[in-house]
Amino acid sequence: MKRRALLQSAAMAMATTAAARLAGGDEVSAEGAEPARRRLPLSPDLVWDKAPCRFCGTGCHVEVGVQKGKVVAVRGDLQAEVNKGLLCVKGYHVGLALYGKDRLTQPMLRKDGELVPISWDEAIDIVAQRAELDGFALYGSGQWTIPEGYAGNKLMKAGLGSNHIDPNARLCMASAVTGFLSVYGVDEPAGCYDDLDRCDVLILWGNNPAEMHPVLWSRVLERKVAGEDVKLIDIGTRETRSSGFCDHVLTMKPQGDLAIANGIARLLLERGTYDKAFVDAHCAFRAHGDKPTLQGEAISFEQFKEGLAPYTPEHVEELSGVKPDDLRMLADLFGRRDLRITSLWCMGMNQHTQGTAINALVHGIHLLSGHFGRPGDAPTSLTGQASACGTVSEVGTLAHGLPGGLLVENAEHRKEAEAIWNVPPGRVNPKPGHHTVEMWKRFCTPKSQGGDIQTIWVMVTNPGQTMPNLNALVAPSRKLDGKFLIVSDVYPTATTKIADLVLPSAMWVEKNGMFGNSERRTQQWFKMVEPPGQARDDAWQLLAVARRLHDRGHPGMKDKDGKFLFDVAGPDGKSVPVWEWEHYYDVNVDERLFEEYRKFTRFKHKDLAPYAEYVKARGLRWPVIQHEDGVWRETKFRFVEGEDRYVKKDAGVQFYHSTSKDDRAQIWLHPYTAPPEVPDAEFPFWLCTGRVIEHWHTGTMTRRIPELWRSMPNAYVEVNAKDADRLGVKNGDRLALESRRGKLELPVWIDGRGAPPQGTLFVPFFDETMLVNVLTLEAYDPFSKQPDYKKCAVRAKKVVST
Amino acid sequence: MRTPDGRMLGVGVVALVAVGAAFVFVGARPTPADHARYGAVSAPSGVAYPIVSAPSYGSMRDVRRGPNASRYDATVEGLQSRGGPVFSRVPSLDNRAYEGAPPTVPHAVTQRTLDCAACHTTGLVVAGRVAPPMPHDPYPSCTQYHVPQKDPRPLPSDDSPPESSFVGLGKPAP
Ligand code: SF4
Repeated sequence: MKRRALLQSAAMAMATTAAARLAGGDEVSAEGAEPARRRLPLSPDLVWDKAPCRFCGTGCHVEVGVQKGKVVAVRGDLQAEVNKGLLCVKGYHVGLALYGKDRLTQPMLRKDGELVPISWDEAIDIVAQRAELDGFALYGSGQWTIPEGYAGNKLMKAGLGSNHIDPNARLCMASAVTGFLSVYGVDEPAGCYDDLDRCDVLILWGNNPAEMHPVLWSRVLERKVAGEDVKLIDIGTRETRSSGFCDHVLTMKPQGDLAIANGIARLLLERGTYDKAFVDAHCAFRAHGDKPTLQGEAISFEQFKEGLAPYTPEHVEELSGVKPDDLRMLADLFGRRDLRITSLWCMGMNQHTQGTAINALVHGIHLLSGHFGRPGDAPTSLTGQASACGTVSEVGTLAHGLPGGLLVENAEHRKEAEAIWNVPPGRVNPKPGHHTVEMWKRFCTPKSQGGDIQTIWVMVTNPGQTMPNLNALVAPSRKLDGKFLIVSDVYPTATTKIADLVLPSAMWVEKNGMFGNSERRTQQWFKMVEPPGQARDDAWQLLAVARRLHDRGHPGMKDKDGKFLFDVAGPDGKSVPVWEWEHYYDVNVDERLFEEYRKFTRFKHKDLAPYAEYVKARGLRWPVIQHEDGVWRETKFRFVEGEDRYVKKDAGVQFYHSTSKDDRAQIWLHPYTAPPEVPDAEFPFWLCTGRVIEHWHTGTMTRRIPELWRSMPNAYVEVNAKDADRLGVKNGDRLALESRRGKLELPVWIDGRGAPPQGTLFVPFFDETMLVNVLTLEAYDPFSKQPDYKKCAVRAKKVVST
Repeated sequence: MRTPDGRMLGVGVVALVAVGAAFVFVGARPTPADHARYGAVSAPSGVAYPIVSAPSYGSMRDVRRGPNASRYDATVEGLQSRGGPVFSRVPSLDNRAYEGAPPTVPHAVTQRTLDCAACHTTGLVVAGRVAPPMPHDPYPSCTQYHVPQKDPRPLPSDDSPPESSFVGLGKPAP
């Protein structure tokens, strides 16, 4: 039987090749190993150029085909290590994102309730006037390009002396950052995607890469299909498309991850299967003292062990619902040094009121078991946005941050920043600004009652759809006098609809840009087509406002030598008026901004190469270091000798940013704590929110791509079949969901895209016609300030049409 | 999603009605001036080279059954009983946004109960419709690349599809 099956397989493979040959008509490679190729007529006026995909943090590279000034095709870039020529369905259709019929093409100001066209000159004037007033904030994005984010950060911190700048990445990967900081003293993953090609075990912690990071998932599945022994384990609160491919699916109660991680650590100690040599040489133990801080306080190994004592497999089962045998299976795997284990996570662990804790715990079990530093042995967080790492974490577009991982609270860091920006000492404000939730809360509070944010300029993001508890954090601002909302975007969105001033932006290959993906890879692209109408680059908008402030006499817009803060000299040494749109592309402003920003990156060993290196490459992973032969080389694995140039000779592994200043990483004790809101008699269901493969975040781009829209036009509520029975609903019926914060009707999809366990509902957030964030909770992690969109309590009732 | 014994079940039925190009040769123009200025050797340096629209990571492997072996066996048996594969056919742009784009699927996709490979590995005639063979190596997670053209759910949308001014490569201008 086996033999027969094998023969059949071989026959099928041959048939496939034959079929392809027939279909394609020519060319099979010499080895007969590749399918046939078919030639298209050559198009003499078609030009291809490289760019990273506009969408997710995977950071695939595409090649963009441009004909007669328009994007007409996209193909996976064979030279890109990330995707090796492959894309997901969003990536294949990314070019269409530019061509929705309702692109914003003109600045618009709200007058008597209506948005009416105004000139760019007026628009820039209005923004500048608002920026001169107190309470001006910039709400940015992990989709800002690196130079855009840098310009925004500099405008606020070096120009306006204000730290009221925060990005949407606060809602997305802030807990990953605080997790890294509390464990290693410096953020972003030590490993990279190469780990996926080498691991023996891959654990998904609340992660669904089949839909959210598809090309990474393909990288793993490809190995599995080729017969390699890769064990896939899914730990999550609902079954997803990824679960279908996994060897083990561990469905847990929301927040159960804390108990599971502690349970694994406890078993490793109990059985003595932890890596004593690694721990003795490279780790120390931490816990919170009376006053919790990101650094915590040192504890002994014994105290650590004692703290874990309660997390027996049976107790872990009570807290998480995961069977003792499954927990033991996980501990067995971590206890084996002959295996290589990679953990992946994204929103499941980050959108969590204990996000910093669960991040630290997962790093902790990798460190405790020595599953760290060898290719394939890595705790790795993924980002959702194309440049969450590049523009937020690295450029420091955060209320407490400065570029390069520096902090506004640190006097030394401020001095370094002021030196690079050539501004007088004291220009950088030492007090952190408002983080995202706080910024919007204050924007929704009258000035007289402490609402000290009057204006928010939103760029490249859609808080009118993504903020949690929209009824409290966005809507009230629209009824308060003196509050002014400015939005730069490419399409009408839930946020532009309520804005006072709308600025049309250029997007993706309509401008020069740089992104930084989840594996520390910095990527560059050039402008390929013109933006529509009067749409203009976000970086230009920031520079134009800075210049207007300068011309209006704002002292912050000049450096110590009296020069404009964003002075750009042309090849002849003379200043180029880049704030005038006609002259913006006379020089490469991106390159100038990047070269200045690059100076910041050496402080925390996040060294970036000169701009020209990125033009040649399909991205480079930092630290990028110039070797003795003059070549700039990237770093795949940080903290590991032989891979990372900053590790001392003979150190093996060196955590050179250790918070304990002794080159050790911290293994944290974080006890289980219950979520802030749990289902009860009144609100009996868990509500989880998330994404689907077709749509990228709020769907403003992907819902305008016909192919993607048709596959997934609207949101729905995923219901377990038994719950549907009890609620008396069938597919397509409408269910009214209600939380303590809001109410929303949605069509029912029983065991929809995923399959929630009984008692759990799932709603995707891409659909602006059904805003699930009217229901969600704004409670956030105490360190990262990131809210939890994955668990709150709701009730559900069938809607009876009358 | 899994059978009681924990084995993975189906991955989806995806019909690739348009066979289209597995590889696309496209004439490329000299590198943009910008690239030249930075001394970059850009991919499209004026030489036509093969573009894979849905390529494999490694080289084609002969052992690619892995955990799905039982399903593939069943497929082969099915194929034989139904009279063998059907090789089609004229490449079509009908279900693609542009030449080289992955085709969308003209039927519902039930990733969780059936497998695209069952019909599309070598091609089949099913209920009078042609299920064309996929022009590339089988991938286990087809829905990462191919999405249905129609609502896959019992939930019709009240909205109409978005209007787009995109004109794909190889498509007639509107
Ligand atoms: S995986 Fe992410 S980056 Fe890659 S093509 Fe898909 S959306 Fe784009």
